Amino acid sequence: MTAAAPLLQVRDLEVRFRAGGIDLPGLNVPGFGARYVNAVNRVSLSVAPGETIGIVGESGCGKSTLGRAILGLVETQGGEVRFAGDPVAPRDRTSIARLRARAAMIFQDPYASLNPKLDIGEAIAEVLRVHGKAAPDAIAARVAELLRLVGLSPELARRKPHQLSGGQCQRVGIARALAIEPSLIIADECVAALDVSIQAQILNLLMELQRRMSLSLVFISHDLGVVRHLCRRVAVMYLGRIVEIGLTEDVFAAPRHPYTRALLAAVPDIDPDRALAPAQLRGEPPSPLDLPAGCPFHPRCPHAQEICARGVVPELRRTGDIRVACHFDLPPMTQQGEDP
Amino acid sequence: MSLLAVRDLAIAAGRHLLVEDIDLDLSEGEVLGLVGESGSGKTITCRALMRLLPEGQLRITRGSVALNGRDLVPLSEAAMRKVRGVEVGMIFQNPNSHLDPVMRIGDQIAESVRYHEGASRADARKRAIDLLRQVGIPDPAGRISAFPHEFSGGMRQRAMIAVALACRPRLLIADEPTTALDVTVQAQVLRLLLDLRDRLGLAIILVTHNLGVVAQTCDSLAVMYAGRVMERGPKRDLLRAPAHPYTEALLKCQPGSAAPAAQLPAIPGQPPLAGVFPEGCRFHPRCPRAAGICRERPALLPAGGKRLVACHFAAPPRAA
Amino acid sequence: MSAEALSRGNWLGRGFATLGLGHANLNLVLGGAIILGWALIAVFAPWIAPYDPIAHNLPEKLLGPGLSHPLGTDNFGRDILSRVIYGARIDLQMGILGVLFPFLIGTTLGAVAGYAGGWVDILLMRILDVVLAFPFLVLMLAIIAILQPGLTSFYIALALVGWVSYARLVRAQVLVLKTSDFVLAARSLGFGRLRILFRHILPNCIAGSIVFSMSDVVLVVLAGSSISYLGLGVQPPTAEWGVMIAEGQNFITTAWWITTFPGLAIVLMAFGFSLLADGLAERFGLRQP
Repeated sequence: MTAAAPLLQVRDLEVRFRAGGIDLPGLNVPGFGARYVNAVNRVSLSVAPGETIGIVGESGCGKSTLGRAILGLVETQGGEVRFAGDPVAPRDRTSIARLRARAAMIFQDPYASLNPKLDIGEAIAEVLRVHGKAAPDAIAARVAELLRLVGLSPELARRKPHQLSGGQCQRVGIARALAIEPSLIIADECVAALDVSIQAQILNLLMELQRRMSLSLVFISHDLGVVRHLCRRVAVMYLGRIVEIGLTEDVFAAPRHPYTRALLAAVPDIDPDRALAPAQLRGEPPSPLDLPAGCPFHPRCPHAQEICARGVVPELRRTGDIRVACHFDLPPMTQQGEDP
Repeated sequence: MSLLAVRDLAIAAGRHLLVEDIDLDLSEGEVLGLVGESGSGKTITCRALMRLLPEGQLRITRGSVALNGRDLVPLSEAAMRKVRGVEVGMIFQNPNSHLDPVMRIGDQIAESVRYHEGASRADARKRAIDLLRQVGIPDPAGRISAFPHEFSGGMRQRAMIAVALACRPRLLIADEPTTALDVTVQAQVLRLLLDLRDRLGLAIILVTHNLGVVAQTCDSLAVMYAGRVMERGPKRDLLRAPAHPYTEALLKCQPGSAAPAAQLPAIPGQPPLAGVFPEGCRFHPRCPRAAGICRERPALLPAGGKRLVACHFAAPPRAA
Repeated sequence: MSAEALSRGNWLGRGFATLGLGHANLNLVLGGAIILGWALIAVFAPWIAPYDPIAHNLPEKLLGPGLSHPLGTDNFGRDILSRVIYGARIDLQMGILGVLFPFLIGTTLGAVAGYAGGWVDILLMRILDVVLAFPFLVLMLAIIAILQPGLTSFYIALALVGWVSYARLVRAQVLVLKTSDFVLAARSLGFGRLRILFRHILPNCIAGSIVFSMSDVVLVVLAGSSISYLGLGVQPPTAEWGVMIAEGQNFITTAWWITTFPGLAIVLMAFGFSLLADGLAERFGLRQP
């Protein structure tokens, strides 16, 4: 661990969405009050300059919402985000403007994240203009440079998104993010919509750019294989909370949280001699409106005990080099999925 | 006995051939993986097997699809309706859009039984409860009156499997059934499919782009690219020692195959679009082994054991 | 090209395509031709019209269609053909200006309300409800009656009443696009709200409004003709098709041509705009051919 100040610091971040019902002040009618979904539930993490961290989890775990909250694209109800030491709040326009000049996001659907009416060259040029990154007569040259940087021919600048393939559009998205010369990039499932062979190209591009420009990369994904390949650290989320966080090689080689274990066991291996792993989890994730008491994972956990169902939610505790949110210090599991 | 034998199948849209020279074989109780990226034609091929191609847009121009020895291609629509749901069933990628949202689950299962077998309401209801139990939905008697939106994603996929199997077909075509599911739910559904195969002797064609899924569930696989089958055979042979350069490249560009943070050996370029397929071997513009002869189309030929490969250089299979 | 794109279209379209003329949009071509024709007639009226449209020529009154007067004359001896030609100027102008003002007002208000949300949006919706509660023509007539009858009043009344449909249409589309990925991307890149609204959201909504406005032209031309027929719009002796129909109704049994030909002109212009609307809808991808 370097002693350098972290580039991004998230502390106890909370994001809640209202899901139906009315909240009348002073009135408490049971069954009619507003119900809330805790999409992000007191999440803390930090990212050092030039570091890659993966956020993994299944649908509904809050990883996308976390990414958007970091960039101030959704309202937060608690906690704080600090970028390069300065606090960032969605209500505070100046802090947001500062953040948006140094951090950018790449989205999942390459076509939907580009304005269908704009030439891709124009989409990138607009960013340069708004942020004053190039003199007006130098814009075209810079656009060409950015396109080449992501492996596209500058001749494509006149094309519209629907005239390009998914992989090419995703490269445009990356070029647009790079136009602001960011120190942090948040990639929200940015290879999920691509074919495997194209995915490999984009991953290679991201790795190379990240290394060359010392970018910090927060890589949100449900694909464990990709995260393992790309990220130095990984955080596993479940129902709005981080349940395990640590160095990727540690977490993947010897996961400690029961959910992480189940997740890793469920990923089908390209090994024809390995049978489908036996069921590790019961049931499915509960509705986020109806979270279980105590540890949110306990109804599905093979190791659940009485304490897990009671009031206290386990906090992240340090166990070796990993931090795990579990009441128990479960011994690390080996690759074969057996408890030693 | 061969359950399904597809020979020389070709599908066209207008003047353009989208899918050509498809040869597939499936025995009872076998799971065949149909692997390919977008544009490979795997979904169109599956639709064609059930004669579900959109009328007026796509049509079968050549070939035969022999199910239990009977060719389905020349059958009339009325005759096909007796085949669909009865001899072959299909499940789809998105359970949300493939279940009727305003009809109860039990009714959707029962509908198939009553339509094809003329069963009474009571019998159909019993079969529905039984099927829900077989696909692992808890409290089946209570759940048959539920609507699809009351189920979670994984449950909906199981319900869709129940609907597809209502009239006990011997063949199930699963078109990317787990692609839209979380990985833990995917594991459950795949296990269910294998379970049904063991219990009912069901043969399955599993369409997917995920090689891990194929490795864990299939007996044999067929790799498609740009509308053609590039390689076909037992899964162990293809995954351990791929003979076709595309299969090999596909395996190599998976994130797990290289050391962490190393550059992945990606396939350059992108898959061609229908209507502008390359001359000769469709993979040759992206192939590391391409040579002049690749401008001639390679036929799908046997290459040792039960494997078939469409490549001029296939003779000695190389270890992955 | 996707499989669907290759197989779409009828024999005429595919025929054009093989000739390299691109996928022919028959609606657009035909509709555009008709409207262009009317526009040319309107522009070159002084040169095309054989007679003065308002000069009386009593010796030649109530003549049927013939060689010297191809569409006949009315009860003042005025040549119907010339009056129809000059009438095109008024009716085309009515159609275009009568749509332009509501379009601009409605689009702006709808976009701002949809994007801003909150009380701005609620206020707009309530105003919309009030305006929509009244039948269109009744409201128009009331406003024109308060102002002086005439073409200017007609435009003012239309601007006050007609903006509502555009506002609703645009607001709905803005609400949808507000949450789309590329708008989120624009926000994440630090773009301001005005820029996002006018440079990113509106250009993606405008297609629906343009198509709607083409159909709206039809309604406006009919409304204008109706109002002129009732005597509250264009005043005689100006040649306008609605006015001509009103003037000719006393002679329907004896001189049918006075009413019929302006009526046919209205139908033909309405038809042209309708085809244009369909053609544009197809062109913008809002409709299958």
